[in-house]
Amino acid sequence: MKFQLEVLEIGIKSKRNTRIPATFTLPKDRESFPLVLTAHGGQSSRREYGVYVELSKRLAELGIAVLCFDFPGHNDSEETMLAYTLANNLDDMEYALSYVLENWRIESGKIGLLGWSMGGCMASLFSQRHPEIPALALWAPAICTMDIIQSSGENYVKAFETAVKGGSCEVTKDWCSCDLNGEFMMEVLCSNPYAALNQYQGALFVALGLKDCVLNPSHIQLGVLGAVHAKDVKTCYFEEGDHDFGSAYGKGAGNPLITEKLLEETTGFFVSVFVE
Amino acid sequence: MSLPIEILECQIASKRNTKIPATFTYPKRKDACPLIIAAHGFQSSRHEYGLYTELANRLAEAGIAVIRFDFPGNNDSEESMDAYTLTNNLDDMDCAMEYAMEHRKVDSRRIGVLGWSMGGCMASLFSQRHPEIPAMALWAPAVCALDVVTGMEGEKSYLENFERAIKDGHCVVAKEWCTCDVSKDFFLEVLCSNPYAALNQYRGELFFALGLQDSVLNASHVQLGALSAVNAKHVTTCYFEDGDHDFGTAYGKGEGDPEITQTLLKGTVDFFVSVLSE
Repeated sequence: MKFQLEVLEIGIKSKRNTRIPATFTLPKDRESFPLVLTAHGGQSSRREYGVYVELSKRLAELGIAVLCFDFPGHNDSEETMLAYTLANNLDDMEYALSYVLENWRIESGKIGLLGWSMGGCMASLFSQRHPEIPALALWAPAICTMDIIQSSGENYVKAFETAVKGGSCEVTKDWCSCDLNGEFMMEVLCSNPYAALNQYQGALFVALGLKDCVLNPSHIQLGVLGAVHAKDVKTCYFEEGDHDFGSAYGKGAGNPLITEKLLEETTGFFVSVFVE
Repeated sequence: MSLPIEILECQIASKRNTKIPATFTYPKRKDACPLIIAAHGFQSSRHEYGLYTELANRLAEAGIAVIRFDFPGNNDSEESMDAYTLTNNLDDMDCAMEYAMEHRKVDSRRIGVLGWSMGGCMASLFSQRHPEIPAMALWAPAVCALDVVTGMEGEKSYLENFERAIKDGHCVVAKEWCTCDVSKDFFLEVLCSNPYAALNQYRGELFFALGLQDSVLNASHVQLGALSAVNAKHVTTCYFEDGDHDFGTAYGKGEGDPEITQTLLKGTVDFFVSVLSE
């Protein structure tokens, strides 16, 4: 059965009393439904180049609601990148989840998480806060914190030192330039998403492009192998896939076959856990 | 003033009811003395190519006792490498500390910890168990857990070895300098540990030595460890521009660079004496 869907653009109050821009996509005329809370990647948005938008639509048509929101300093956020810390991000995920639970009827226990890249790091850490969550989907997750630190550039030790001692450092990449908070850098170094995945006991879906040029795919595969307590681990590896999963980050033709397969598999995963 | 010293070769009971081979070096003095617990590296020994032996003698002469011991599966240990896990290693460090305190008058407020390479990982994690420890010295510490896992490469890639260990309970890692079994528990515990977080929480005095040409661990990753220790009372770094992971010892197999070794020994002794002597 296909549901009609409703898309609500909303603002959620954060723990810091700021407004978190969010999009809530839900099946129309359904009293209660499962929920997927999504986390986007670094320097991206709640739409993830349209991939989260399309996924939300497909899941809502199958009866599963999806909440997407912007992390601080990203897209429509009213805050600067200095507010982009693991603590704030986790708080925002918490407040986004609470908002839905307070305003809609979510089927008991049917809450899932999805994260892409840095959002995969956040989703993994969030699952550690909420071990009761039964479904976790990760797309090229940044679970190796050293890879995150090193992504600040060739001279990452200097960047780390500058950020920690001076409060922030400017990181310039081909595709963006932004300020990284020293607190963020330290939190990343001292966190361990591998440990979060190792503790996770629900169903796990991990998608990965084996030609990922942003994160080291072998480091991600270690996390999958380390998830020895998960109820079930489903992997979706693309031999020729990159970090963008064929989306070309919305800037070119990309590889729609990869994107389509990713969407299908992820939708199938959440449906298998929540609906079947 | 140089104190006379005593060296005791002993066997310490582990929590697993095995015997931990150990060497306890202490000054002949009547009052309570400070104590250093020394953790050695992966596939090494409590003597660390004579370097821990020399350091223990110098510290004891300066009034500081040193207990050093073999981790499970290493050197004189009666156990196999299957018992080489972070949990067992930390337990053995606890047992060594308790043994020293039971057998000699030790000032429990003046306990330090020393670790080289994988021993540096252990020392960092030990400081998390014992946040009261006022002095920690790390030599090229394996604070990047990822480097430990990815370093388990030999005839097969680290990913293959990791996968085999998870499936079979252990795997054989064949390196140029050693071939050994690495257990699933060790792999998983390392992957899930975070010595950086331990260093970040540490509030005592920290001595941090590193050869910037380290060919075993990524020197930049190790440096991040020193930078993460923002809550330490003080951080003394001792970086050798041309130093490697062996700190000039050539692992006891050649001439090496005695100047680096001597600078390291002097710096470490001075550090512990300045923090732990009354």
